[in-house]
Amino acid sequence: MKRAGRTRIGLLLLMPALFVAGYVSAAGYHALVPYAPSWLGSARAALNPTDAFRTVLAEIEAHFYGESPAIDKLTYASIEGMLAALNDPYTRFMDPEAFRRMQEDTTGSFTGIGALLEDAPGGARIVRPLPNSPAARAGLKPGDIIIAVDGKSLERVSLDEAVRMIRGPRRTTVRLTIRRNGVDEPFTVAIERDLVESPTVDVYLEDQENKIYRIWLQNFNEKAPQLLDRALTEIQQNGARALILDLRANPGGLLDAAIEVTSRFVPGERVVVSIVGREGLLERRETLRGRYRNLNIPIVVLINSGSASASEIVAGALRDHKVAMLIGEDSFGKGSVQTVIPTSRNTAVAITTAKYLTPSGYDLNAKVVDGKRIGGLKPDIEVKNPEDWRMTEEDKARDAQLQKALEVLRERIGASKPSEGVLRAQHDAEVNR
Amino acid sequence: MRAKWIRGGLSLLALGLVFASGWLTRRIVAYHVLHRGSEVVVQRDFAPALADARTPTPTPKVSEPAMVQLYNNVLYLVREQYVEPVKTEQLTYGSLEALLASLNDPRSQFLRPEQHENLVRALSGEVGGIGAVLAVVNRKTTLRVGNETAPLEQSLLTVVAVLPNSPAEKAGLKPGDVIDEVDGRWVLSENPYAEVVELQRMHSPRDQIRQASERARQRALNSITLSEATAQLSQIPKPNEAKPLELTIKRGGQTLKVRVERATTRVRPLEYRMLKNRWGYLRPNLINATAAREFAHALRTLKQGGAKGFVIDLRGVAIGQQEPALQMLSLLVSKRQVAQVEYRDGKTYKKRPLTLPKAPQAVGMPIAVLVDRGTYNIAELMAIAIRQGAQARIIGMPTFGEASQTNLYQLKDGSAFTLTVGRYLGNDGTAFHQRGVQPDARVPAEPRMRGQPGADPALERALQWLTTQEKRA
Repeated sequence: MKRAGRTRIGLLLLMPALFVAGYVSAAGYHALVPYAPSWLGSARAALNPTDAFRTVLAEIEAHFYGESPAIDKLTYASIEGMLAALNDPYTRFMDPEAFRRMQEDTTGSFTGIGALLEDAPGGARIVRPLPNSPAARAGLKPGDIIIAVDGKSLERVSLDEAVRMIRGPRRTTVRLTIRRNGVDEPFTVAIERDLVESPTVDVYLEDQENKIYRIWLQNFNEKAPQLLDRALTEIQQNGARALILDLRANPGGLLDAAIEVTSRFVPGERVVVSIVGREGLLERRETLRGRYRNLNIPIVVLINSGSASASEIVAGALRDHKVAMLIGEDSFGKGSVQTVIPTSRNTAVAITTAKYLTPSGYDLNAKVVDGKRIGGLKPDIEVKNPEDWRMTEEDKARDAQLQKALEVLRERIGASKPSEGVLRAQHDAEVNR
Repeated sequence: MRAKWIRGGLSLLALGLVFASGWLTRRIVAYHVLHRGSEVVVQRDFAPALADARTPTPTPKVSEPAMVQLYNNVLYLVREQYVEPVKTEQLTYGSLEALLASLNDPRSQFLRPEQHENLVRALSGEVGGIGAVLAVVNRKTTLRVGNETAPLEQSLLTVVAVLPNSPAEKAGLKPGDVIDEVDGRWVLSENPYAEVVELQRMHSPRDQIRQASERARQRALNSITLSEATAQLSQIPKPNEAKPLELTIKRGGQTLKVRVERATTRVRPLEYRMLKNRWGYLRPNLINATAAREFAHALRTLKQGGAKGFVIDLRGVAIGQQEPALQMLSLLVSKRQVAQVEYRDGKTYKKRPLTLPKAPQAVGMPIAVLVDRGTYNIAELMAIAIRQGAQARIIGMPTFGEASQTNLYQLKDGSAFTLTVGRYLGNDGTAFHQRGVQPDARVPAEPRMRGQPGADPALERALQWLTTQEKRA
């Protein structure tokens, strides 16, 4: 009995000790077992983003000692940081100013005088007026320097800003003050702004002897397929033996135009591009029937960092279908679809909602990693041009990419050069890799 | 016999239940702590400096709730519509980092859970990485472009203090060193394109702009951000990647290259001993709760040993918190108000006294305080408070000059943020931000010789002064 009583007292004493032991062990539980099932309660509750944002913002407003930006600026900075975490350069936030500018750009006030400009002391220099543009009709010449727009000096104005000043609604007039070499006094011309049709397709005979042609496709507007057809007919009639399809500095354009262009080189109903959204494949675009040109000559596609979007789709499809090899440098890496969604306070957010994959499934979109762009199409043969090389007739001598393309095509059509067999094998290997 | 077994079984069951109930109680408590309405827990013991002891957990009210709505909208849209599944946590962290970075205050920043953990560990005296206390110092300077100059803002990653027995000390890093490169990558301390922008504004020749632009591009490509650099310098590499870091250091006008290992440096909270002629020497290597406790104990021991005065060595003391500093001060000074804090109230700035939590017990003996450039923030405040609250002299070199009062807020997922909420001033209004606390006697000393009688000129000078005080008395 005595013993039983002692046991009972022992048990009673043990109870609080065990309670404490349980309490303590539960506290240390998550330190010991990091992957505990969630129903046991998590040591670290997930953060509710909006509550956390509100808390930090409120604390800044109430207690931050320094000069704090206004609450809208703080919010915009936070949203930009949120979107930057996606590492996607195209998902972006537009504050009221940026959103307004974007709306202007896409609602047709996108008209100007049709001249290529570059920065120059005291203003903007005309590199060349585009053929048949308002600038050309007004008699502007390469080398002219625009020193004032509507009487406002360009002395301390950036080139971007100057372009914005020159642009305006269609059929309105802009007065440009021009300084021209050989003319003592600056003079002013009034030019009516108009839609500027940039040329789309240029044909060059790069190797007369071997009949190697270069077709420079400058963008993918509605007219591009038709103009390309004309160019292809022209070179076919001239007995072209090889073709360089030049997609350098081509920023892209309409997806339909890219499908049409690819259809000229790839027979019908082959995949050109897959459009993939969050939930998987949205659409697969294929080459169109009856558009195939069956050129039957070797083709090289030139790309560089200015080749974007539709250019990359075409280049990727031609490579994946083994129609052409790619020469040049990494393309820009823009293979996605953004949806612009207006949000409150005249802001908007552009969200990448779908992306383009080449037929072999390659994601064209570049990523931003550590502030650097990574991605785009890799050329089969990488050739870099000098940093200050310009895509003009005058600078053609330094166009190493073009030279490489010519060299490769000469090998392919068996033109000239000794030790041909070895070199060809080498190039075939490069094509196949 | 059988009844006994049953009884034994039942009591075991009861004991098990008791244990389980204790366990559950803790979990329930934890759950409620974590799921309180507010997202933020201001942990007073972790706060390096608490804005206002009376301020409870902040009630999150913002002046324009529509802005929170906008944030929420964008968040929702991205989560629903973005082409790939997104991790909400990454969005949250990205946005909070940007929010606090937009304040352009190096001491207000978001801390991811692992960064927060590092900070807490450093405050407890376990410093990972090279073993130096680093701070980003914003500086306005000028950029020379041709014959013209333009303003340039720099954010320099600066060594505040080098911890004793740390890899940084072995490598010879010194307080004031600016870390310019880590493993050959430039620490992004200024806008690399600033020169290009100026050249464009000046309509310089195109070639010149292009060259400058290419230089800037190369520089930017081969750079790391301040936070990346800080992370690299304060983390311990995995055993297989344990390569020393190659740092390029700017010191004065010189550029040096050093190799630094990374390890955990354990900081001894306090060192103390009785020097000759019964002068007590106390050196807190950091100012945290442990150091404060040991400080009280050491002071008592030295007094019992017949100390006639004290040397308090705050040189290189760069890690600390406000509460333990106040605890230490309460054993030294005679008045309850030890400093002032300037804070923002709406659009105006106001001052309030910084007072000790309880009535002080003045030490009643002369105190010589040793400081140098590595005396940082709360340690600077301590120096100035001792000078104004006791029979004391400051000896050494001007201090770093960082008077920000900074709060640490813990968020419930283990992340945290810091925010500068005030500026410390001396009790008489003396400002030391960016100026440093000026010593009464300027005496430089070699950091490694700290506290070595005969080899430490500042200590010698302190002892001299203490002796004069003794004679006067």
